[in-house]
Amino acid sequence: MLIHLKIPSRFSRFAHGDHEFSLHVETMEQLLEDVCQQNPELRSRLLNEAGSLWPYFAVLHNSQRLSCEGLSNLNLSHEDTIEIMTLVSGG
Amino acid sequence: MSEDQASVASKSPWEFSFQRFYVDLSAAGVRAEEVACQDYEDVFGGIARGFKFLKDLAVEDAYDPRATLVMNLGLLSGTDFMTGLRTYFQAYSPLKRALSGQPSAMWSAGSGKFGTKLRYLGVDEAVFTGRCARPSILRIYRTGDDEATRFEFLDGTELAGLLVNDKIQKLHQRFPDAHFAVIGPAGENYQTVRFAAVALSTENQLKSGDPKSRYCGRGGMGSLLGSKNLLAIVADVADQRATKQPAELKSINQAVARGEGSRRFRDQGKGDGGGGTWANYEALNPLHAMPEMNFVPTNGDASVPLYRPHVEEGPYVVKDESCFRCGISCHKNVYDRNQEGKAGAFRAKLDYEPLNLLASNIGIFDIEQALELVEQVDQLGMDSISCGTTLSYVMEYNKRYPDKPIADGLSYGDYAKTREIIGRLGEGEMGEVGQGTMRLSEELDATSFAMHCKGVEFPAYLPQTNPGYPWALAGGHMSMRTMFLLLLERETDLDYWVSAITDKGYMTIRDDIVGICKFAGMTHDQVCDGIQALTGLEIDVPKLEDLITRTFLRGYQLERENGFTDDDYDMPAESHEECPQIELPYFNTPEFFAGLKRRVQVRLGEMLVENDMV
Repeated sequence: MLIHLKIPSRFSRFAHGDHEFSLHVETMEQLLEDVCQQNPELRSRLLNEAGSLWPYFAVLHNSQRLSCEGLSNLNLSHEDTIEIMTLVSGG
Repeated sequence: MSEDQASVASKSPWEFSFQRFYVDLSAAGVRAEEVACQDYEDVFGGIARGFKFLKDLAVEDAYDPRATLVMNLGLLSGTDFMTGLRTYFQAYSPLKRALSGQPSAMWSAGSGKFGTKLRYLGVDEAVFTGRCARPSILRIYRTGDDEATRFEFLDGTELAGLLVNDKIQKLHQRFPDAHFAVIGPAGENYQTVRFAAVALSTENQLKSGDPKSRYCGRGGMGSLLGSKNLLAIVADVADQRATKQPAELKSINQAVARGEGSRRFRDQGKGDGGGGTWANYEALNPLHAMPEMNFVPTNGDASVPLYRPHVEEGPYVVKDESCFRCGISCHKNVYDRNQEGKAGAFRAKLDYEPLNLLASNIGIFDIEQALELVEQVDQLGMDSISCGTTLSYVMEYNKRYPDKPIADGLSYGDYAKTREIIGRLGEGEMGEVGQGTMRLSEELDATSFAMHCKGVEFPAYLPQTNPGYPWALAGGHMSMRTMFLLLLERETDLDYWVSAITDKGYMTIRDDIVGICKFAGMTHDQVCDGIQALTGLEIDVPKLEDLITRTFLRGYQLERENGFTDDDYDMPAESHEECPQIELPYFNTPEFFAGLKRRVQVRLGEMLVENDMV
């Protein structure tokens, strides 16, 4: 199924200028793996050595923030949107 | 700027003027001047105009009564641009200084509604010199729409010694239409506290009676106000009727309230918000990339109880509240949970900085204790960053030198003693500690773990991961945006870091020129659109970027002209040491930093030439 992925725009320089992708995958793990395979420089920026998202990212599924539990039980549907948002902020 | 100036699009800077008031506190006299703008700096105000104005006004002693304190607005302060609430205090700081001892130009900014009232009064800028003969209140007021703005000096004796909120509530009873800038006891004790803040009142504070000020914290601007014997400034005028917003502004304000830029600061419970700066705890601590114990993270999970979700499990309610007419609601206000399970007594406003620096970084991991300390520091009117970082220095010093302790042997995690010391500090009884980290460490000849640059204490981001700190003009996170780069981008080469500091990091000062809050997260395009819609000024992104660059360079130039040499652009020696528990690349070695410094200084010199500023 087709899943739309948005990553922080600051990472576009690690992804050939893009920060929005549409990928044919079945799971969240595949989604992250595919985008990192296509853009190897993204891998260390998004994922830790175990292949999980760094803890300073939040994930939004169709604009709704997912908890850790929600993320591990996530079922994707065709045309869903996944957004990865940076959590750190200062001020 | 007057309203008729907003009616025609594409105006040049010299078609604008602004109102500057020279306030001689010694003579209790005021002189008004309408100044014709000469350039974009004049039109924008904020630190762009402030730095220009301060250029030839350097002093040897920040507390010299002849020293100048500028209070001004940015172009969008007090307008309908959402978050356009900023008031700026600018001066040669009692805290920031060169190794030679000369005070350095600095600013501090705050929101609340005080700036909006100044805008209603037509006060674009006030320049304070001299010293009031007695503790004073300056009331700025206007009795009718067609009346001139007036200044009167009132006896402030009855405010002396009061906590910040007590001062504000007392003034509110007396001047119900007004908003206020006040100092706390720390500012009154300026000779022994160099990092006192200026507190600005908020709508919520005046309505609820709760201590919910916003603070101009950095650089000791409250100490400076105290040195001038000015305890409060009252901006007393009725609110203006709302005018119809230009259509372009409506969509920009929607972007501020609901757009991408402010999302990280919005409420996590309302769908897509990031939860604000408090979320840094959950983001940074798992990598041990968050300050604990004077910026040396422990390798454990001691700070976990301070995460917001854990706090909400306890007998507390956290509410996301906002400044005047702001849709971001970035304030994370903590209340006791009452018997109905709702918000009861207000406890403290928790941002990441005060929570980290007045809890984890001084070895306190209990939320109840943290709430007490954060609120205590706010109410005494001190900058929580400088205060917290100086306390952590004291604790580290006492740990290393148990035979010659200072501050009654204050130690990590000792809540009762910390509370006592903070209380005495704010009351002016801890002169050694109140000098701040730089002066204290020089006095003790123990500088390697004194976490500051140029006398301004580090905010709650590890210096081991941020070699950009020395080039911040006014505090390490609000004027040089390099503190998250290693975490997010993981680049460790010199070219990258030179560019990060000299091309991008300083761009964050834009909002201190414009008058809006950094949490709005606006793009340059959006800012230009908003300015055009509200003022008619012809401005585009390249011109705005040029203005930001000139302002940054002017700040750097002021440093160099007032005693700073290459030796001043350094970091504490221990911030270059490897800290294995930090799960980020180790790269800020002494050798890396030496190379970076060489190249940044050369590049800044080139930029001054390119901008005809030499």
